[in-house]
Amino acid sequence: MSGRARRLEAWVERVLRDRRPRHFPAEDDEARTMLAAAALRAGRPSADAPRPEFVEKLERSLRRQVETDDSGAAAPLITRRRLLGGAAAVAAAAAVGAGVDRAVDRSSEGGGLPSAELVPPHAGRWVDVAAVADVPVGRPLRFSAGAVEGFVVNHGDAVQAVSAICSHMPCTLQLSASGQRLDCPCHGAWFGLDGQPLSGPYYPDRLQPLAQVRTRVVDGRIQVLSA
Amino acid sequence: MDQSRSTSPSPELHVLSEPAGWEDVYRENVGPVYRYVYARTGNRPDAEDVTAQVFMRALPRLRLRASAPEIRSYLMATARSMLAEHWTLHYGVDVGLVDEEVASPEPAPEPTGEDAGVSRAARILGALPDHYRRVLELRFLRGYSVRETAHEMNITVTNAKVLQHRALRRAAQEELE
Repeated sequence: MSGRARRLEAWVERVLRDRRPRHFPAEDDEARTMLAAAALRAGRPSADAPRPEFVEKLERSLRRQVETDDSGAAAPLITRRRLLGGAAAVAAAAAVGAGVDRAVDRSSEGGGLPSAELVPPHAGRWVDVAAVADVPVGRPLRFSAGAVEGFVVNHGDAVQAVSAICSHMPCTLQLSASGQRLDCPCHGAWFGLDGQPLSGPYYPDRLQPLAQVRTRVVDGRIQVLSA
Repeated sequence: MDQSRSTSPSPELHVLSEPAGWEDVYRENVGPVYRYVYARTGNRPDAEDVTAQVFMRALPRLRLRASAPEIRSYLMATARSMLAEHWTLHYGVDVGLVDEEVASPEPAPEPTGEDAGVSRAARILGALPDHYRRVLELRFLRGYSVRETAHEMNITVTNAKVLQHRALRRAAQEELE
């Protein structure tokens, strides 16, 4: 047997004993074989029933999570507070919860979908997010600025920011491994860094683009229009 | 909980449409989610980790007023996405290539009954030639060791290993088609 076959065999033997297998970088065909093994492993009667201890333990963990987040708002999002300076950081941190909550409500109601621009110019305030020099060209930066969560991209000759909330349902987008795409972890929508929907595995071209966030550069620092 | 709850003009509708507590949602869905995840990880420790991630991620975002089927499908979508993350993180595999279900535009409602795992395994085995099916049945469904399997099939231990390897690869191909 080859080395590849042996590591696959070791993986299968662990799975047959219902133990955690060693994780390793797998080729696609290996992964498919492992998935077939996983499917067969689940075919042993009641092998796939959760342990009562696990069910109870997870319920206790969830209760702790719910109780520490009793606002009923979305899960705490990753913020980049250190990018914001001084008093702005405190104010922005305080506004994050409420802001996200509002965004979630607005887009989940479906009727008044977000306009192309997230915050209209007359309603907003400018929030500092980073120095232009700290944002490499073409490498998006996640920011948290008051009511607005987004990604800002330095195109070299211009700076652009889009909302980090998916235009399909109110899930928070994540930067893909390549750093060149915004992916929705909930239903798999894909967006380009300009906020346009990409033909991904889900909902190709049927999605609204991401809401745009107005940006400006003052004294070498990027500011976004927030609320 | 069933679908009729949200559509039937029952006089108790106002009571029944009270949003469920998160505990109810959890208890009704933890079994189906775990079974779904188990059949795509194949072992308890990984299945428990991924299942915990699914509820940790989904519960705070869930609108409890949504219907039971909507809640179920949101949880299953989250499960698919967490599984995709699991396979990418631990095996570096592109999700779309591995799990066709993850890549389908509108995932069909998954059978999540208690026998879903058993019937899926039976379907996979049913597509295999006899000796492939036999070796996988003995090892996966009946829990025989390689040695016991070899004895039962009247072949050498080495041959049993090779047969099992080939049978699994064939099963994976059948799954693709």
